[in-house]
Amino acid sequence: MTTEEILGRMTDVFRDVLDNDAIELSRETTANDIEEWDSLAHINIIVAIEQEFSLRFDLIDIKPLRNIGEFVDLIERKTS
Amino acid sequence: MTFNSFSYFVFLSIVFFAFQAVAGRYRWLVLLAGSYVFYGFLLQPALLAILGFVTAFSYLAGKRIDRSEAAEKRKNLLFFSVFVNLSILVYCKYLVFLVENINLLAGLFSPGSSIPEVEPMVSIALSFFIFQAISYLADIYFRITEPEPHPGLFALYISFFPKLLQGPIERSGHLLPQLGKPYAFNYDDVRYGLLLFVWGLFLKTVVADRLAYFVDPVYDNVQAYSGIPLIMATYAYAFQLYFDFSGYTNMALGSARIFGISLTQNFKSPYLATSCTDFWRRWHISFSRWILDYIFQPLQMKWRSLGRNGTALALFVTFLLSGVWHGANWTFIAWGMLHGMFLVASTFYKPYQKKIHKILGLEKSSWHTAFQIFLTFNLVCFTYIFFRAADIQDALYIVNNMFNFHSNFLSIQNAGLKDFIIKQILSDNSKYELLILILSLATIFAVKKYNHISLFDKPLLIRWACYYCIFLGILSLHVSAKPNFIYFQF
Amino acid sequence: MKKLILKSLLFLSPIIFPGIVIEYLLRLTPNDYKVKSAYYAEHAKDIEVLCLGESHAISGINPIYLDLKGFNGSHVLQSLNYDLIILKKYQKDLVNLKYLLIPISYASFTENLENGREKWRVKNYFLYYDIKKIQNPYYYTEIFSLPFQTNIFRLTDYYIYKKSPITTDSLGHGLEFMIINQKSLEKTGEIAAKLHTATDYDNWKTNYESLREIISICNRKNVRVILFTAPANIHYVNNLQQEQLARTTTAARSLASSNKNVFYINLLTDPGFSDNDFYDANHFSESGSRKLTTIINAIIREFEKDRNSQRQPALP
Repeated sequence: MTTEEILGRMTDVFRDVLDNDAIELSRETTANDIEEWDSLAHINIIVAIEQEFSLRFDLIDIKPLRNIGEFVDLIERKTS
Repeated sequence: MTFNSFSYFVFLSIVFFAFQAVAGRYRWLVLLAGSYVFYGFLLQPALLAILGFVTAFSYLAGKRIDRSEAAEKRKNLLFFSVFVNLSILVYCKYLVFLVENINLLAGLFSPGSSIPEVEPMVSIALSFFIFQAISYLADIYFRITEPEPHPGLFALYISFFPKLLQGPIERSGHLLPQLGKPYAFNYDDVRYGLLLFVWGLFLKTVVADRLAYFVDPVYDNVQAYSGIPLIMATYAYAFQLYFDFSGYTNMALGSARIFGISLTQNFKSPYLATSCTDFWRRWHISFSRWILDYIFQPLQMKWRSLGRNGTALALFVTFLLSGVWHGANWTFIAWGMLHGMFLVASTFYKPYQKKIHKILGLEKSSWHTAFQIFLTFNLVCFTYIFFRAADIQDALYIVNNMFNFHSNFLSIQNAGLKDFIIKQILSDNSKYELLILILSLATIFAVKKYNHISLFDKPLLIRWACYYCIFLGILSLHVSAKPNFIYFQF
Repeated sequence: MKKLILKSLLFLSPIIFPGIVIEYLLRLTPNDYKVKSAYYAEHAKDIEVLCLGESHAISGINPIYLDLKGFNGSHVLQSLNYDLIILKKYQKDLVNLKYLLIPISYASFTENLENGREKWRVKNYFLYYDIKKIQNPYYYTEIFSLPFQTNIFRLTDYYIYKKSPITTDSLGHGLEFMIINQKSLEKTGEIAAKLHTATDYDNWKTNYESLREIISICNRKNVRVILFTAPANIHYVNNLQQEQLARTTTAARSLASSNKNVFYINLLTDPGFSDNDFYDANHFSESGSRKLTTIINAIIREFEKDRNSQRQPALP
């Protein structure tokens, strides 16, 4: 899977979980950039990403992430 | 010494001049020595020892965690070091409470048996710096930050006197780099820091302590009141607590700013929150971020398979523990539980609420926002009944009687509204105090509107006139009987 | 940096100068401590009966009813350790002293001026009695001893409204306890008893040792110490905690029995004092102080009769 593919699938997940088709993700996007991203949405997103990519995260994977780009890299590491 | 004492002003000046006089490489030492002297003024050598131990232990533990590679080992080291830190906190702060309650329970099952009573221990500042040490260790474990190699800087990070007694709880990523940065004298920093400090002093000694006049007579003797006095005292307390704690925070931030250090903002107009969730983004921010990052998120992650229920449970546990942190008393636990319940409720109804607001077009309505603010403020004030009451009985008495407006006719002892107004609000003394309060609140409102920064653009005469006014105000209007900050006891 | 120092000094000068002026004016205002220390300076050698102690003595002992030359050197909340300090300061000058009167009240052993509710009074001893053993530097000055507003009111009261801050007459007896201003005996009794009831006995040792030292100084000077528990109104007495009261009177009695030069009389529930003899539940009106001083005077008369014998006098 390429990072563009990952980003694309992530964007679908975000749009679905946050119920907003206008969301656009880039590597630099952070939680502050997306209005609907609160702590409930946060966990829902993580669970949905886990389901989408058939992965399992630990908190230690998630905590240090600072933006979407690092999230994408994490997924890439875990799926390869 | 507390921030609102003349000796602190002397201390700050001495540390400041020593800091300036000394060569760059030793500046951290001046601040560190000053911090230990500051803590030493409490005349509790045990506390100094604990501070030293927690510092040394966390410094070494941090290095060990970072050096370890295996995930299991890192986790075990983290748990162990957090356990040690928490044990110290529990022992010093909660042992008396635990023993009392164990004895209570034991008494129920086998009357006469008990474990020996324990002497209460002074535990000022422990809750704050131990939590800060835990955040440091966790951040290393999560690879968010690197361990600090310089033991002196680390010790200063833990003990830095502006934030030692009542926070803010500083993250290593925020404070350590600032401590390590080479210092360059900045006139504006000193000026702004002093002004911030003095402003905090004004909020605490003129406003918060004065509001206590309208709170203490009721809360120290609740059975003598019913109806509106109970409500008014609670509202007054909401503002007393806010001005007291934000006053302290201003003094802390100001003290640090004098040395070119920026500490974390702890408050962002909390009573303008539109929901309890929003409230916790604005109140005691360094603390709520701490419990969010180190209690809520791990729990939420752990229980994510339970979906919304998992999040709700995580919220409840987090705020229950937050109540415990605030004090070894069932009232604080009740307060925490109430906030937990409000937040849990909101996780369930929020999606529906959003939809309804969209349908009714309420999102943009300022009336609706005002209503939300009003509702949230009242919910928060309701929880303050438990926060301020001396014990659960008092709190429950207030809850049961605050809408009881008829008791003036039933009981001679209960001071109804009329009595309360005549004796407490409009007595000769109180009229004067109330006037000062109103003027102060007007001043605060004006300041919030115009913001400190624009003051520095004004010509010298106007600036100095303002400084002298604040100074004279503090000098002549400060309330002298009450020495300590409310959050001091945590 | 230089700019900061200069500007700070410039900013502070309009604060420091008035501060110095205020301090100076405060020190100039008359007060009871100045009056009494001036009396000692001029008349110490003539004093034959000296009364120390706290407000029970201020209101209760009026030296004009004493046969011998008396002086009332008591002050508000002056605890036994400060009685000792005063005595030590003037012992060389009190060459004619024959009797030392000290009230032993319910709180005499449990209250200490230095950590009590009005510990700022310590500054009066430092500034006006010239007693330098005070440790807290705040109390070296007038301006830092009391809240700023209070000090300003003191200045305006004296310099603008011309109200005299002096509360005692030339012989040290209190002027403010007039029967026409009598307070509610019931209310003041309850409040005062509560205030005087100790939560711990941390000050006991200090006060007790001070009293013992007073007794030994007097012994050396051949001065008789008369300890007295002053009468109090029933509303005060009824609210006293029995243990504290018993410990206090027992201590006084034991000192009297183990020291030949000490005499103790417990007048707390003396029936000779009616409601009119009290200004409030534990302070005396004019008639009350006359009665009390007369009783003490009678005791002194008996002692004068047997000046060099060891016999205890018969009570009136």
